[in-house]
Amino acid sequence: MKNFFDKIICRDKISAYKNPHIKSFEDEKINSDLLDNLVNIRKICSNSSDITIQKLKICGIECAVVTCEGMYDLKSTAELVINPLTELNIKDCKSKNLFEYVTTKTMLSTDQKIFYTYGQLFKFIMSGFVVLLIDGINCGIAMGIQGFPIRSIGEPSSEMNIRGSQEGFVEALRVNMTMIRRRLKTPELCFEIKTLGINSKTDICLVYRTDMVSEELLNTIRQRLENVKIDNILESGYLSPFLENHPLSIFSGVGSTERPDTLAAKVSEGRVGILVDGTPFALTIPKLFAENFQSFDDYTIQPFYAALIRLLKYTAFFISTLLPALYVAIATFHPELVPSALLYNIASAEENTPFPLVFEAFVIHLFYEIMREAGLRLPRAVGHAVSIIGALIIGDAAVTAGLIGAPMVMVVALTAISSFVLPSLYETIAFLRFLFIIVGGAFGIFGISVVMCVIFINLCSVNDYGVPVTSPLTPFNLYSMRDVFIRSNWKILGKEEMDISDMPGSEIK
Amino acid sequence: MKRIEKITSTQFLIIIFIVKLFFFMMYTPKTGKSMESTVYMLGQLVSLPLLFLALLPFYYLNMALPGYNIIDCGGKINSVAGKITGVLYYCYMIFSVVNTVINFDFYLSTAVYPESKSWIFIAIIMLACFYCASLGIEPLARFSGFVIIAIIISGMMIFLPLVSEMNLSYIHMPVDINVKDFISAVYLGIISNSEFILLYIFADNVKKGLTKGIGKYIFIAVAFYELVAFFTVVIFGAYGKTILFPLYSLSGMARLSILDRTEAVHVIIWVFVAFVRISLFIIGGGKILSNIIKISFDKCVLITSVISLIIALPAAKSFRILHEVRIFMYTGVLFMVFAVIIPTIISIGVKLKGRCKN
Repeated sequence: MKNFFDKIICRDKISAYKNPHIKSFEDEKINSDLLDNLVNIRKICSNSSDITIQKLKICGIECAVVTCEGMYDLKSTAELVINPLTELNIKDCKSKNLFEYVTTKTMLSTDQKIFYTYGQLFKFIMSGFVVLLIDGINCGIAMGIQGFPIRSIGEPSSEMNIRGSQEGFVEALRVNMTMIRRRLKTPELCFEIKTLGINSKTDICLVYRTDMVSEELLNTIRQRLENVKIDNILESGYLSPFLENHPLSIFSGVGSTERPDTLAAKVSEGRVGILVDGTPFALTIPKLFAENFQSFDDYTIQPFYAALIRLLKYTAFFISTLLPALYVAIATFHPELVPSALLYNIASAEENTPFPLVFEAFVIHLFYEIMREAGLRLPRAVGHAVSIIGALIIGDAAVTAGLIGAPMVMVVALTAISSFVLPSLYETIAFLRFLFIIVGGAFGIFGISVVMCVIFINLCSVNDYGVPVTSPLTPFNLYSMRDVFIRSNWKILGKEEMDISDMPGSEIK
Repeated sequence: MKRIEKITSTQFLIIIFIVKLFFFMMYTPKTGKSMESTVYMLGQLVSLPLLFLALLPFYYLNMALPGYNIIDCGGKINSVAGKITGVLYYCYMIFSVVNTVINFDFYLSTAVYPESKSWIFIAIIMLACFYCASLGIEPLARFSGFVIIAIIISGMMIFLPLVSEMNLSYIHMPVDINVKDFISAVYLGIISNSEFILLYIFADNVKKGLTKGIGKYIFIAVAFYELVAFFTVVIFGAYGKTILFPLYSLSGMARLSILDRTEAVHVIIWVFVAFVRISLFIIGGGKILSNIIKISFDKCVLITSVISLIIALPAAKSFRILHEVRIFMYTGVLFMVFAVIIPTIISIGVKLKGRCKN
């Protein structure tokens, strides 16, 4: 059956879609003829204007400096590379001598690498390296003198905190690495850089502590990353489906964060972090469902208040997911469950509306999502106008016109506010909300209960990397619950380091 | 290919408690016989030690062949015995799925949605349970952890508000206890534990510690039964014997703060419990079928679900079938055959085989 559907899909595939493939020049070796190399470089990049080649003679030997405009630091290159090399004076200098001098007897840059293929050459220059080619030598020297503009470190946009660091990750991988290193000054913290993306050649970095991480977990992640064969990796989200066992599940076993302190904390629990060059969102593996209700602020404030906030978040999750559906189900199928005074108010409000309650709920929530999406994409100057229009359309005008009932507006407002309490679960909540509204409107509480069972089972089936995502709620462990619904005092939490491989139900060693 | 997933003994005992709860939630103090409810409650207590006796074959098989389910134990004697055992238990699984589905449908279409069509409830619940069963027993075990918490909370929501409504004068020791009724009550106390059959089916899916956990489970199950019986008697008195769904009626009477009635809580828990029960039996059926005909577990789950659906749909329309099935269940034939007789025969067979080898 699967083959049958695969055949139909392939038959409909048009030539616009091609499988990603490795280009022919990737493994082509650099040869010792400088002119030949330069001609090949121009040919491969189709004479692109940003690839600059500067020929020079060093000790009478023809050399060339290849760079990508705007990617390297002009001043540092002149000071550290061009000036010292042009002033070099070696008697009876041959190509080999010059190469040996540059690679072993001097240090033009602390980040200096030797490469042998055109694929590596282009990767280096497009990563901001300055490349030196010497006539007569069949390899090149890449010097890390990056100077491309990067965004300054600022507050993370998606994870706001009151206390705690106001630093968030930026797009540059190396800057992110230093932010983590500053927080974990231990030699056990290890960074492992890989290159993924056939065209984009994006640098990604595995971050882990060698004393905490499970080798089994690390090897599994490495293996899965080896299987990533896509053209471009422009965001960490591109990698998530490859890292998950259940890509069709609503819940993910791969987390993301924009905060270096959060990533440092998770790495210290035996997890693996993945930084991706070009995006401030890092991945953390494995992820537990309970982490969606934790924030960095919880660990900086008083434990009793942290516990209150956690319980509030769990309540907000259920409100944002189930409130509209329960309102529709109870008002439609089970009005006897509502206290009489409230029932009369709801009945009088809904009596004059033309649409069934389920339709009202669905449409209003759809409008809300449209406005939210519009608010995200609109320029900031215009953004506040969206909220005014939203309040007018959904709030006042619709109720006055008798299109929807006032209780429904209250439900929408409460649901919307509650959903912002858990930004990491927003997509899941939005999807489930619509699903429950339809099911509640069609089948009442029975339908909601059945779908809840299916959703919970879907959640319980996520077991990426051998750690149940529902741990430590189920399989239950009382001791591990000290950081789930409540946040124990640091004197208790700090006694032992939590290790993800020791979570109840974990199969990793 | 058999999928052997391992869950802890605590998780498994929680699942079978939830499975048992299905008929608790449909509990009637008088099960078609006219006897005092207090006699029935006493009978449950007295049946405790006899329950342990009934589980002797399980203890023996667990010692002799640890980590083997009943079909594998039968296969150890010879392959034909294994196949016959498999077929018999598979039929029991199908029967259990169908019985649960039609009872579930009966409750919903009688008490909750009196004007709805049966086939909708059956189709929806079977589809959901098929999905759950296809994922295996591990996710179900984890889900049961959530369900048990929900059951505890809902139990408090239903029973605590009823404390003020209790009339303890309804509880009285009958002056003369009819011996026949008492023996009948003890017998019913034993045979109403058909979930023990699942111990034999899923023995290979459970990590160590099952035999120790069973004792605690039996005490908790009986205690819970006594609690439900107690409340039914002290709230409804003699009238409780005639109510079809007394627990649902109790939840209708429980007032909690702004909630005038907590029937919604009962419905939600009922659906969760039915979901776990049906899914578990489908998993058991799929596992046994996979063992017999050597095809993948997923296909066997699909076959089991389809067979159950085909039987349940027409059966649900007939109240007579439902009534006959319930009477048949209360004869205890199923418990005796599948939890006592067959395991005893297999235990004897395993013992003899062991002796022959020696």
